[in-house]
Amino acid sequence: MLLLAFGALLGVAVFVAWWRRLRPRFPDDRLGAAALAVVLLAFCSALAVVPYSAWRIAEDIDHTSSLTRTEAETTGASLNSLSPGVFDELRRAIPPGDSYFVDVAPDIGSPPSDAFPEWSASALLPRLPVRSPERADWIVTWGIPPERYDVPLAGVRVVGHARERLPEAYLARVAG
Amino acid sequence: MIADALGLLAAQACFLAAGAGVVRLLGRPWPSSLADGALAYMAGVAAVGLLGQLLLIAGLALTVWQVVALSGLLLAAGLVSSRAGGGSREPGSWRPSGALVLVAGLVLAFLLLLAVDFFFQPLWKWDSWAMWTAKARSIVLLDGLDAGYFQRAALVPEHPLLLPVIEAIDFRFMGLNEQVLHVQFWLLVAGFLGSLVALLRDRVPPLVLWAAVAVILFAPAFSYQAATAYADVPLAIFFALAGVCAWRWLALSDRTALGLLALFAAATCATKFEGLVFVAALLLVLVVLVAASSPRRAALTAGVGLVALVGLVPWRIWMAANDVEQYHSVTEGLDAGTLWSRLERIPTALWALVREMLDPTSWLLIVPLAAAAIALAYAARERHASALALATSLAIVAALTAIYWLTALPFAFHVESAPRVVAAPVLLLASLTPVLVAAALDRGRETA
Repeated sequence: MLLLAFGALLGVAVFVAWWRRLRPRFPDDRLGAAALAVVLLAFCSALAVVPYSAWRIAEDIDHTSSLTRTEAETTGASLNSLSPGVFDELRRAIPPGDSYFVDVAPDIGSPPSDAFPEWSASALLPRLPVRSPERADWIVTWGIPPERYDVPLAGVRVVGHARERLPEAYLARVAG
Repeated sequence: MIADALGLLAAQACFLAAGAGVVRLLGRPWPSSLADGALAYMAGVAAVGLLGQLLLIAGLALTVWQVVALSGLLLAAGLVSSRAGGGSREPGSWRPSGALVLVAGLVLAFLLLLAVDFFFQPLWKWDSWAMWTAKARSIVLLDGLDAGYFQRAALVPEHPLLLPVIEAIDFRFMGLNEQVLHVQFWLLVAGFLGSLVALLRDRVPPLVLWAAVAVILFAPAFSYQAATAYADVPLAIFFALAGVCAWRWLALSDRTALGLLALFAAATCATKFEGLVFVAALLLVLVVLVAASSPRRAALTAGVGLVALVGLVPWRIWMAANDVEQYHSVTEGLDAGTLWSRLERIPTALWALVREMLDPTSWLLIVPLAAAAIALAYAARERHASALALATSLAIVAALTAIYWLTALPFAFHVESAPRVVAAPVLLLASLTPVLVAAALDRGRETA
């Protein structure tokens, strides 16, 4: 608030100073003076927000520069309450080029339930999702035991909690 | 991080080299100042982004050597071009040097602060990690366009690929560093502001021009939206540059500007699907205004409309050939009854758009002062810029309102995009405002 007030004072001061200096260049012309007023008003109103904006950006830098590379790369998951460790585990288990089917239990609310398949689609590249478990090499689920799908499985394991206090995420290899 | 940043800068050197060739090919002299370099850089990003999309569709993977070869070819085309570039005329007097130094110094200091901010910025907004950068990652990790990815994994697959292409090139040169990637967006911001100086400095007094640059840069929504790594600011930047070039073609019959208009209009269309709507509005208004003085020039202007589709049409053909379904279509499920029942959307959508454009916490006083500048320019008998700015902005607002009226998406969800989609008309107005003000100041000096 203080910075906004300071910015406003700065904007008014610059407007007055420059108006006094430049206005005499258009002694008998209201059109030129009005154009000058538009330029000064535009600039000085923008100037008014600079102190606050600069402080906000500095605060942002203070936060983002302290992130580790891993934290920065998984910000999208973390902000949507997903545990990045689950996707590390999935990347380790599913070979690049394999396909997977992803599903989330309906009782897991949004946004995490929407974020899980979306984050998978990017984080698991170059592994590609498919639309049915029958066509997949792997089944990745959150809150749904993979045995529920009518496909033969070669192994099922828990890969962690995609979010604290919510059901576990599973990985299953489709047999054959 | 530093090594990745150097890799990113190597990619930018390719864009700059390509753009230097393109602007030379279009008839401008070789870049001899920072502002000219910025314009060449933006032309390079647009040209490499457009051609890169076509190379992807042709089956290439945009490897480092392919990008270097493409940039080299564009540079070579400029080197062998015989088109003589004329120097631009510097404006006359009315340059209070102390004030100019203050304004330019503030702009550069703020840009520097933003550069640091963008350098550390993570991908945090949903559509950036789930859609735009995810597509770029797919191009790199799947070695080109993969139909399976766009059929089953890509979010809103119908958006054209200019931005993912640019990001994929960055990734090729530096690795998959999604923090340093934001420097690309900073460079687009800085390149845009420099390009405005390059395109307008022969017609607009320096203080007016730098004040306009400062207003755009300091507008909170501009730097915030650029930092989100969404496509809306790149789209708005290309569109605003197209608008300024349209004005130069309209008012000054500048043939180089016509070429740049075609390039930036094509880049706008190839960045996001609403770019087509914006470009259609701009070119429609431009054709009508040009036709009033020269039917031949109007035909040339209409030809730009065809060139503008150079990135978009092949992409749509590729989508159709590979059974990639659209996420949504404006015309989906439309009939008279549905349209009638959705009529109440129109005032809500219109208000959402106008409110966002006028919101001083997002765009400062850009739009009301642009309206004042239009009135002043009209009074000063500068009809070209005032008609172009006013009619194009109104046409865009009308078209966006119509899209929200027709959309098959949930209305409340879709209209949430209003703060982002207004960036293009706001930047167009902000970019043409210095022209409008300069006309009124000129008139003022003449009559004084």
